[in-house]
Amino acid sequence: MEIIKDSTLEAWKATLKLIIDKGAEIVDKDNRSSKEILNIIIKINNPEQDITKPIEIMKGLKKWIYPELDELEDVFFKKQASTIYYYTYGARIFNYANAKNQVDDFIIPLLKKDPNTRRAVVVLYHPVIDSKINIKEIPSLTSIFFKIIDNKLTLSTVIRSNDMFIGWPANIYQVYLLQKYVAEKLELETGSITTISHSAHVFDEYNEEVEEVLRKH
Amino acid sequence: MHFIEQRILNKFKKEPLREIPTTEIVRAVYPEEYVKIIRDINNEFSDKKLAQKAKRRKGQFHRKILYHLNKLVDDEILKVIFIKGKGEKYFALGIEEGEMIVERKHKKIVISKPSISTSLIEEYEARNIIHKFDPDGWVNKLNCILLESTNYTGVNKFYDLVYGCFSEINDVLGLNNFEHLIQNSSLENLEEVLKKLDVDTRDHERFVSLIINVKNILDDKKMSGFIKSFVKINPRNVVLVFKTESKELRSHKTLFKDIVSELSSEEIKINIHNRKIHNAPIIIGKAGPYTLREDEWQDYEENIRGKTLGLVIANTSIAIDVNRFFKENLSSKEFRKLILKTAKTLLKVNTTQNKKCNEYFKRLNELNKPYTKKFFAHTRNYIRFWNYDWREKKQEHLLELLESTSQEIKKFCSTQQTIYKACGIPFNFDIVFSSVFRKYTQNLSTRRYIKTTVKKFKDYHSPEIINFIETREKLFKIFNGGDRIRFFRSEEFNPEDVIKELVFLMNTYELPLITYDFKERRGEMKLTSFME
Repeated sequence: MEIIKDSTLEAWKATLKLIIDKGAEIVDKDNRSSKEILNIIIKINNPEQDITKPIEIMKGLKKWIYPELDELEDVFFKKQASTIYYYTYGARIFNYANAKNQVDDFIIPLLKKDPNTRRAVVVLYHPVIDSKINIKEIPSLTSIFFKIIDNKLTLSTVIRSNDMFIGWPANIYQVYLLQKYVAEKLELETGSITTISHSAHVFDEYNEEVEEVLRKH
Repeated sequence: MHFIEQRILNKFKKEPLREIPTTEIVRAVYPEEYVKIIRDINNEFSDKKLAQKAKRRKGQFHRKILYHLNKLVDDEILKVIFIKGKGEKYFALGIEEGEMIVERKHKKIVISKPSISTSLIEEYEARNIIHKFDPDGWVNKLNCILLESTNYTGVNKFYDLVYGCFSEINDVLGLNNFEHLIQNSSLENLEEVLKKLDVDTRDHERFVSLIINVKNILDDKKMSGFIKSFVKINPRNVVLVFKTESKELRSHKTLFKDIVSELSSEEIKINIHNRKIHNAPIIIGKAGPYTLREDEWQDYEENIRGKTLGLVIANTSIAIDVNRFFKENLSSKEFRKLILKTAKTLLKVNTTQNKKCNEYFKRLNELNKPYTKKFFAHTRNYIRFWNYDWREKKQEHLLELLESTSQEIKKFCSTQQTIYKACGIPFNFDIVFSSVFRKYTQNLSTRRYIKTTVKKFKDYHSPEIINFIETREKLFKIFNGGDRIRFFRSEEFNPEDVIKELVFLMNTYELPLITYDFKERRGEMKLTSFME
């Protein structure tokens, strides 16, 4: 299933509508009902124009507290692992296994050396830590792939489990920040962003709010 | 940079929001020396000369630190906020919020002062309806930590850890399975540690609960000896909690007769935690009781115990003065709104705390490596209620209201946890309800005592008492953060009566924590105010 849109908001809304209309009913082990579609690919041609729009909408709903932009940025770029958060994307990206800065020490030099490379991939999933049956908290973002196309830096990310209503707005913003960071280092413009969500789902408990978003925006 | 300035600044780096008195800064700069000074001054057995020498040394330290503090004030790094009591100065950081870099002779210290918006609850704070617990240490201190005694073989080493933790918390430490150390230490050594504990808890204004698991008591005589020492020292900020079940009160009858007789002679409260009703430890702090859910405790027992120092139980507390709220003729709908605003504020405090945890809890992080996450895994926030007498006309609907609000808060926490997790910020966020103790803060409304007469055992069968205790049972279920029922015992009695009453209460009602208070009730002395 592929959705291609020019803006972030259009892509988000189209995906939500698709899941609400065509998703399969699923009840998880915590007894929460959701609708799910497997392997949705969302391509946003020009995400920069409204990248924070879905977050602004989520904040506007006022039923909950949505993380601030600086909080989202902080966990994505902080190299030091948190002692409280079960994992952080920042530590996985910039200090993988306490050993590897995957972006500064690999992606950037690699793309500088070989702009056509197909090897520019960052891995967030760590089988030694995460592939344990009783562990509940493991990263949803599993990998991020960079490719230079027409002198623009594009980014594709694989998300194993993706709450398209409350999670995706933050995920797309966070990967955009990383795309921008790498593009600046390479002196390139940012291009499209693609998310590949293995389990793209929306929980039934948010149906009312999802409808409100689809209706009002 | 002079080492004294460096230590002063490190104190403010750790507690950027606080207004800190000179004494506390002296203690932070000279931790070991200052402890010795205080002990020498307070030790009833030290000679006069030694006490005088200690006082002189204390004065010298104060003057020395004040010299450096004044220099930092001149450089606008610190400011004097006010002068209290006998002229003690209180200092705070010179900046309102943001980052400050102090650089002197190749040494750089970066101090960040976070701003936390509490605008959601400010109006209620102004009306004294809402009270933060320890507003100065709100973000960078934990309310309550449980420390595991069984990790240690000697009480002295364990005490070093306890002492070190006083600066990490703002309320109470629970020392779990303390009977283990009682059994493995000499009475002289235990007495010495109790004395230190008394002086240091008063000096730091911290509380300690010694949790004694009765099922692990192997030597009743030794325990009895320890209780005698405890009564002799009578440490003001230390309480005993006996975790037990009714049949153990009978099997250790002689011991409990001694315990009741000793504690009552000095009007020291006896706290009985009924393990059959609630297995997780209950810790008694200045703010109120603390505990965990049964599934959390099971996780600790099965997966964490032995790997960490223990467990963080609570990080932040807010109290709500229920009587004052309804006195203003505010509605139940308003009450729900207030609780939700409080919950949102607690979330903001938590996220700020989490962001800075590597800085604020550096010492605890180090001590619990590589299991630090487990140490923080079950920490929760408290909303505590004061003056919630459901028999007041305006508050007769309170139990139902608290129950339904508790469900709403549960849902709020679960939603927030899902949202943060989905955004790549996975952490445990939980809010629980509990009661407030009078000493939480000065500004609580006057307590409205419940008038229930109990003069003898037979009175427990009166409809009024039964109804009262049954309502408290219901409250215990709503107060998932812990609660206690207190019985005042000012009449003549023999220890066996008390044991009989305790066994009856434990077998009849679902009350996790029963406190017998042997102090005479101030004010009303008709025994019409026997329970609360």
